[in-house]
Amino acid sequence: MRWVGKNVPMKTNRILAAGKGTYVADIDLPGVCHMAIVRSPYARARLRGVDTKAAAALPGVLAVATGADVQREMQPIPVHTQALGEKRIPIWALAVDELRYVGEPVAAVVAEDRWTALEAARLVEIQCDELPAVVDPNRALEPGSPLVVEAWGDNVLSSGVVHQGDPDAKLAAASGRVSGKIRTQRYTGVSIEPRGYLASYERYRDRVTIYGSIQSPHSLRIFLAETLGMRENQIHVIEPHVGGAFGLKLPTYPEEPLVCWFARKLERPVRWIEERTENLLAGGHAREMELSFEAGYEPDGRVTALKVRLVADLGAPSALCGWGMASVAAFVIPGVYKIPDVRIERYSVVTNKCPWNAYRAYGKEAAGFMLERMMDLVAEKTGLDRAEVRLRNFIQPDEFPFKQVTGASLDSGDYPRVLRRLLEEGGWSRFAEEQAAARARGEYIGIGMSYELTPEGGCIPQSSLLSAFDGTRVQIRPKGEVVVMTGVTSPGCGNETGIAQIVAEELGVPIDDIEVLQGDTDVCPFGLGNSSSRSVIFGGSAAKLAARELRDKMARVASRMLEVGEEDIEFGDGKIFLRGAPARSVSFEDVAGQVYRAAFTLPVCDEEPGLDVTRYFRHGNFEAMNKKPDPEGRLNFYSTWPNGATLAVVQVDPDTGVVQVRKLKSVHDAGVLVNPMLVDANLHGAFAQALGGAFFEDLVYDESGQLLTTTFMDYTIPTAADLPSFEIGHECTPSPFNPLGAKGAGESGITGPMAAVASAIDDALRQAGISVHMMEMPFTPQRVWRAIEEARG
Amino acid sequence: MIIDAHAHCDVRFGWVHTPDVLLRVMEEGGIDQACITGLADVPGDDPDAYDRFVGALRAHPDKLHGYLRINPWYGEEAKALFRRAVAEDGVRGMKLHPTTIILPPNAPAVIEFVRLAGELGAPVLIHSGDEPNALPLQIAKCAEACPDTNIIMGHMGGVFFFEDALRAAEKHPNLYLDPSGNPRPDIVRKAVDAVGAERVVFGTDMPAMHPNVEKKKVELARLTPPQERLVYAGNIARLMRLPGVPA
Repeated sequence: MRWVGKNVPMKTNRILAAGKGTYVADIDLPGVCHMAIVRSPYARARLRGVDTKAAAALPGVLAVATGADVQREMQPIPVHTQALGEKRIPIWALAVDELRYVGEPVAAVVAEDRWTALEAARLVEIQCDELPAVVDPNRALEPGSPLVVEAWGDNVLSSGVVHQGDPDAKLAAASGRVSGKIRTQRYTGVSIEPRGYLASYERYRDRVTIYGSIQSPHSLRIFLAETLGMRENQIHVIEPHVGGAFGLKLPTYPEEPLVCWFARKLERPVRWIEERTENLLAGGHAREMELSFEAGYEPDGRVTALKVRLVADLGAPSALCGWGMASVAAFVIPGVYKIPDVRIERYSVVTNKCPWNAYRAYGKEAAGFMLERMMDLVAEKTGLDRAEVRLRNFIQPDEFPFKQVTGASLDSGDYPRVLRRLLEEGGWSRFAEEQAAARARGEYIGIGMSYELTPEGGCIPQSSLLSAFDGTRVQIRPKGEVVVMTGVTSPGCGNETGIAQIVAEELGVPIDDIEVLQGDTDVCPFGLGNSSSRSVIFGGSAAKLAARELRDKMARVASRMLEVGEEDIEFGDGKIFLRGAPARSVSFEDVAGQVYRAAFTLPVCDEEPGLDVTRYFRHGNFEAMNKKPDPEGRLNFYSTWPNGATLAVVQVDPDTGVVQVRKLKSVHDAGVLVNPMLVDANLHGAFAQALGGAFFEDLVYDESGQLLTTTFMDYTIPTAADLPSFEIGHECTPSPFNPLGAKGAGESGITGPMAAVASAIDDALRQAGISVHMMEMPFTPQRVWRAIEEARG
Repeated sequence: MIIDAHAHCDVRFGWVHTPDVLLRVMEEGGIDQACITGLADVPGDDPDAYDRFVGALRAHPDKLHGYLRINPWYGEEAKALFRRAVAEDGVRGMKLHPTTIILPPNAPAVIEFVRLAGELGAPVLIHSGDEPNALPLQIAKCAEACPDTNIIMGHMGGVFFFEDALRAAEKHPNLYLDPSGNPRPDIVRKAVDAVGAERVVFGTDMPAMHPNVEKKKVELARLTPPQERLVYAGNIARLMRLPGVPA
């Protein structure tokens, strides 16, 4: 039976849907106490002291710590790589001298119960001199701006330029030019389960165990060991069920070492569960970027030159990996298009706002949004169909692997095929009639489309968090049960099911006979967890290699038991049999039993005892580069390059600015799909988050650096009632660089809807005789209404 | 005299705001009377919600007055229930919460109910805020479609849509502004400046907010005594036709 490509329900469905999942808050340890964090109410201040006397005196309080304690007993929290040259400051688990954003941890309190801890936190007095804050990244770039880190002399964490050809000359020579500025707002992932950690301590082994709502247990262990001054062997990291992560639970947050430190100090379990307001204040932000562009084009719609200036507001410096999103945004330009002469300037700017952490799409969304808006403008200027302009600029199927101007190595794709299918199935050419009928009813509907490129399997030089390899161990036990232990994890997105399918296919056993263990540093081989859609690409490929090795061994043993040639052996339905004569078979269980119980018999004696293989898979899209810059100084940062086209139909009410998405259709190419149903499920979630960003979600700061959106009353997210029923089609161009041909789909579906709905809003308003270009997200009713009013004069 | 134009009295969603609790908080906050809603839309998934609500009104007729929280998805059944509530059970107004009924105020189904309320002389309290279905300009379209119904815009558009709330009320004379729960300290002043004290009502949104917080917003507005009397009691007494209260 074939398992790869089959719609298998997620192995965890039954538990999770029944409400029987085990999340950090559900784990009960005897004697557990609770941590609360005192957070900075100031966006920028010089810290003079922290008075903890009143808090410490409150009955039930067990410990109070400040930055001074942390500085005395811990090390700064390390960053995951130092190979890319970003400026750095020591990041302590609690602030030691300066406060750089509202919500920054300043002190921590541990008490017998949560309410006492929260009350004690309220009694901690922060003594400081408040300083002017900078919250606007463009203002932060101006001379004389307040400095987030005074020692740096400016507010630029890093900057970079990609330059190829002669874009200025090409722009001057172009028959036409378009320009504009797009902005993606600051927002975040708001997983249903906020962050949470529980640490316990075993005195006799001097060992800490931390249960965390996390994504990358082994990486966290490395960072905790360094921060706490412990050996990795003294730290055990367990990831129980996780209620959503989306990149925002990648390490290292200050609360992670703090619970471990307190647990070791008090010799008692310590739990911290994030509140929603803390989550919005300090749980990692993302997205805030501004891209100014100018492009030259020819009458046939070909774009010949592109200049981009990217300014990203990263918030305050931190130990998190979110800062890389700005670099990725620059890296993925010009995406799926062949534009020979390009200049991209990037400024990754720090401000007095919550630091960025990774968030699904990781910067690709801003680049894609800009490119697609640009293509719409070119279509408008040339009078060509929006789809036709894209078709004329695409990289063609016979050009892969394709080296982009930034050094990106695009593995595979057939963009024209994907787009043409979308247009056909989505009724692109027939829409004008529908639009006219709607107009006759007094309704304004519009259609938009976009193309997205969402590279996956990120790989950063010398990183302990993002690299293009992972390990999986497959073990067949004496009764024939299969256990898979992998370094990749599954924060609710079904990777365990996909990996089980891969192993089931190799070994010919039912998927229910396979147990997948993840998220435990004592059990699983070293790996880098879940991010960048890496689980199936790397963990799944490693599982395939390990299972194949076991299959070969089982086949040799079975062939001797059946007295047939090894090359004539087949696996299926829990049996190993002679090809063409399935009655001549042995059960999978019997062969496993033979290996373990009859190690000295003829079928087994030439084999190494046991059925236990660990394999690591390293992705092939980097071999040519060997992770060193090419002669032009460029690196490739991604393994696989999934892509897709999105079509949106919206209705706009010009009186209120309210936009209703009536249709969202996507045709997507993630290579070989291990489980199409789970890919669709991931895309459904991505579409919801994309539309959340396009229409609702916005982390708004006032000019003093106070966050105004700290609850779900004002940080609005979409509900099912705000979303259309999604339509998804799949095309497949396998990645040639991994044994599965898979490209990943965990981050796809964010970029496409944003750009498609913007295009559709423009189109709908054209029906009302209103010319607007929605370049700034979110497209709230207020922003759309104002754009309409401005256009009307 | 202070009459709270927007309070909740119910036991639902983890909130335990029984009449006794409400009356205690009213006393703490110096509130004389309150216009309440339940926390469940009726008809709906909570079969006891209606009886709980009218039970509270019956038990405290001199203190509590009611807006029935209606679910328009139930069509004629809901209309009949509202008629009965007004005719037999002392209900004086209608409440619509666009987020829980999943309908914007300008949806045809909602407009039918707002018109019905107007026919029965009952004002309609409509929740507004930052949520997609609860925007002031959507309420404005509803007000335009129902000129004979007085509509109270609860919360005045939340954090980011308060300017739209002002604009909507300026345009439609049947729109009244209720700044309860709105986080801007100067919101009462802005409301009075925009439409005059005659169309601003004082509300607390209890138990979500405390009366003392909401009263502070009125205090910060520095109203004249006649304006303050209108905002604190006169306007809502007129809208709800409260007996014994000078309008």
